[in-house]
Amino acid sequence: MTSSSASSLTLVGQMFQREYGWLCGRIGRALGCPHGAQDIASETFLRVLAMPDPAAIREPRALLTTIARRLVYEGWRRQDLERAYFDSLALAPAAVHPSPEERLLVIETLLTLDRLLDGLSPRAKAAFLYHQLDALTYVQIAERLEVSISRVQQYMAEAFKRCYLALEAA
Amino acid sequence: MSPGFPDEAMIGEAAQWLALLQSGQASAEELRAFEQWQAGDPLRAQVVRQMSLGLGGRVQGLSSERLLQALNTPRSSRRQFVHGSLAVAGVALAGLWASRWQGEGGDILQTGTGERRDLLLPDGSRLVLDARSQVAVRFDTWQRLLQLNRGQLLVDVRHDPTRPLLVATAEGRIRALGTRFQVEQQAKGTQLTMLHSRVEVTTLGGQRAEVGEGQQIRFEAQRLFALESVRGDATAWIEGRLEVRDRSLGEVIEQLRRYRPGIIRVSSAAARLRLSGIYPLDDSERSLQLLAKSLPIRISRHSDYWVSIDVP
Repeated sequence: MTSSSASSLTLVGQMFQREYGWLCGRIGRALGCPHGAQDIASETFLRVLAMPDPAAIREPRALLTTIARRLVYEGWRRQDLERAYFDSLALAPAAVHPSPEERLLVIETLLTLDRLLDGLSPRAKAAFLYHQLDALTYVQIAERLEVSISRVQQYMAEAFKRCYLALEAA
Repeated sequence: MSPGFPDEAMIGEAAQWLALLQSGQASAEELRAFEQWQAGDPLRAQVVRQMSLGLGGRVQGLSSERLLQALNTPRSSRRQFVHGSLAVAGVALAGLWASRWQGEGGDILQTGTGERRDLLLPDGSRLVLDARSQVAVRFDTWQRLLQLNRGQLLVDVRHDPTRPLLVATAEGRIRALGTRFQVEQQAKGTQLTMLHSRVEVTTLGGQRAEVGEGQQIRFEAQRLFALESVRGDATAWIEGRLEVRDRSLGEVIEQLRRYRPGIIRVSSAAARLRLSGIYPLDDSERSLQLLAKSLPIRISRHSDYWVSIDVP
């Protein structure tokens, strides 16, 4: 079932010619912004190109819609995270203001973490980050979160599991 | 289970052990128990190893407090909006992610009122479920079984000469090797519509028929009705349209019910009226209005959730 990359390129190229206009129109109507729509439509086709077997796509419009929707969500989540992180930074002294590169790095990190820890309670997220980033012991985490040590252990189990599943799904 | 992929239970156990080990408080006895557990299956050690990487150095030099603050911001409510407007074709998510899911235990897939799903089955076949439908998926070495409990499905079967695909309903079953067809579980009987190639139908009573491309047949447990040719675009529901040519109002309302919460009552006189037309499934209110315009019927509303259709 594998197809050579040359023929996938042709296939996706044909799909692009047939459906690009349609997809732009559709996203544009949903977002109310034609320029953003073109970006998302292009990115959508890049994702299709990266798929292992484009020849197996039976319903291109359904697939394109699904990918486009996910990209839109990702974009919004990115904005939310960026705003939440840097708004708090704006109150800090000027010395800590990050360069554009640092900023991009932070946003990428936030998106990754958001995906890996999605679905965990705020406390479980906190326990996991204190452990993984700050190397706190369970006792220290328990004190900081004002919960029992066995509770911390539970949070850690949840987080290990979630993180593993998210990485597997990638 | 192994060798292969760890199941959910194994992943859960591994997480419990790892959380205990990382506490630095595990007793010698617990450590022995862990070693024993891990020795039971090479896959376990592999899961633990991978899991213990955690975030694997993905985050460096950032304050955990500040990260947490951002991560805990709620998802913005705009997503509801896109869900409405970008999803009008009704092709629900699935597609991409469904390919991950394994169907051995008999997964139940179902849709609610007004919801359609387009899925990729583990064998590469495509399954489209109409609204208010339920199907159990049981795939094993010998066969691929889809048990349609209610509603309607369309399946585009990936060819596999060693493993036939069966769709079972309350009245019988349909057997295919590689083809495309649609099956509807009606209140009394099953309706099969062939879109490509052929299948064999066997009723519970043992009667058999071969149905070819462009043909449709209705059957009950003890009865096969005559073969008919497919009229209109029988698969338009996938795109959210209902296309009918010379069908009874009763049949049309049956389809529409899946897209409308509440009760639609049709008198028997009204149910016998014949009609042709195209109706938007995702806007059942508009469909009712269109019906009222084209037929000598009276639609009365007792509430939004209770509609009666009668001949005046």
